[in-house]
Amino acid sequence: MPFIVKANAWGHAHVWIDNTVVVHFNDQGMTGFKEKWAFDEMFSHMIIHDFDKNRNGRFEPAEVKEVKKGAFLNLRKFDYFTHVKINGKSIEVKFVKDFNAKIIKNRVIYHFFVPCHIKATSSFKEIRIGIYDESFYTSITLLRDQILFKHDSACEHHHKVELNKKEPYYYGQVYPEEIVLRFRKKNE
Amino acid sequence: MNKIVAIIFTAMFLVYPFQGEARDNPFVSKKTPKGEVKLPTFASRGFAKIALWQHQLNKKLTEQVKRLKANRTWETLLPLILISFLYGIIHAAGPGHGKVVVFSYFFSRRSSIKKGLLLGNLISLFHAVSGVTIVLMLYFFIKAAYLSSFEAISQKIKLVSYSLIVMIGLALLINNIFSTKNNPSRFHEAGAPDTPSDGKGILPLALAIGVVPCPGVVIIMLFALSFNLLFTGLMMSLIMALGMAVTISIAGLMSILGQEGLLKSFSRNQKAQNLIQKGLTVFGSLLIIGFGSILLIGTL
Repeated sequence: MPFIVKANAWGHAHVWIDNTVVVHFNDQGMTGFKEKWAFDEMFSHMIIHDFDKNRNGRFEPAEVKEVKKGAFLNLRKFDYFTHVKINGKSIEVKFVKDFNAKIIKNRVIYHFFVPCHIKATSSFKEIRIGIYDESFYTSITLLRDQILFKHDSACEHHHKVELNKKEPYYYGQVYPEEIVLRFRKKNE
Repeated sequence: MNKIVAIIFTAMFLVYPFQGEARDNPFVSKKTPKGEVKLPTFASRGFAKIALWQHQLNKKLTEQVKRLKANRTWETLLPLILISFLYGIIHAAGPGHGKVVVFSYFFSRRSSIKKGLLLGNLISLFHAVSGVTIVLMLYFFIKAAYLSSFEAISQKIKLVSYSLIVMIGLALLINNIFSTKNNPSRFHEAGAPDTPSDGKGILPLALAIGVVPCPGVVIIMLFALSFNLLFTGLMMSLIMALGMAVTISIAGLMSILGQEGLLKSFSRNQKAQNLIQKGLTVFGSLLIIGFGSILLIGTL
């Protein structure tokens, strides 16, 4: 799997995540985005040990519920490491849906959807999505070449990934990496 | 040269206390995240390199453990030893592992390089032993969930550790105030033979700091155990501890040598030199008390 290491994180992480983002649209505009977190094998082992109770190498629906309860929902306090700004205004991520957990090649994979409804208009709107753990316990690598868009036929959009040098985190030492997405209604 | 050392010392002195303690696991921690002090961004390029190396070493460790499981030879074991050592050095470079307390401790009393190395090594040894002990208890006896159990045990140990750090800081403060009152010209050059009183606080302090289990060791140990590689896990933990000892010792040595540099830059003015040294001893003790208190309050 190709990956690009986040260029400005440092030091003391205990957990590593490779993160993929898929932005969803509909006829009206943006509806949200799906995140896929692939954990490193060492941390994955801890989650698998704790929640794959029948030791069959996969999470059944009941086990997924337990993973969600025991190793995901607590992240609500950390906005699920997801920092969103719409036209410069910060939005707290306190609700996500469609959580799922899988085990693929010894790695635990989380999937979840972050609802974020933004109506498309004739002028461009800007949304910035930064996915990082401010405590740096977890180091999250955004897979830049796997930022995808779904059901986007009604919208014109373009994006880039850049460092936000105005709002460093972790004692002001790390610049967050953000997806900067601009979109508007397609001209008929 | 002394002036350069003094400048570095002062810069470290200003920045170091803010480089906090180890963070809790956000996946299970019951605590609410707090805002933090923001410092000028000056070192992010260097930190970027460290993060990159750490990520790569973590992957290499994972692969090497698997190779060792498949093929138990010196060719697979030796790289694992080297990677564990490097991983330890880099792992301890981030916040935590008691570096702030070590740094402050050597403000509070002039000490020898030997003592700096000893404290660094003892802390990392206890740090690893604590992590390994918890893993062995969880794996062989308690057989509970790793994530929540480790977090719960770790929180209790932190409470004890931080209380001890505050108490040691208080003892150092009282001791420093009394000893400077009784013997105002007390002086001890770095590198000079140690007096018995120099080493007094080393062991209790190393225990107080090192008793907090290293999450890095815990994760590596559990991973090795998942392949039934108990002795490999123990070896990796010990080697990692040696790597961490390098980094923690550097924090101590920076404080010892920085203080010497600063004091020597005032060697022509004995009065100012004495005043600075007295100020540092009291300030070092206060820093330990303050830092320990902040950690303790954060854990309650």
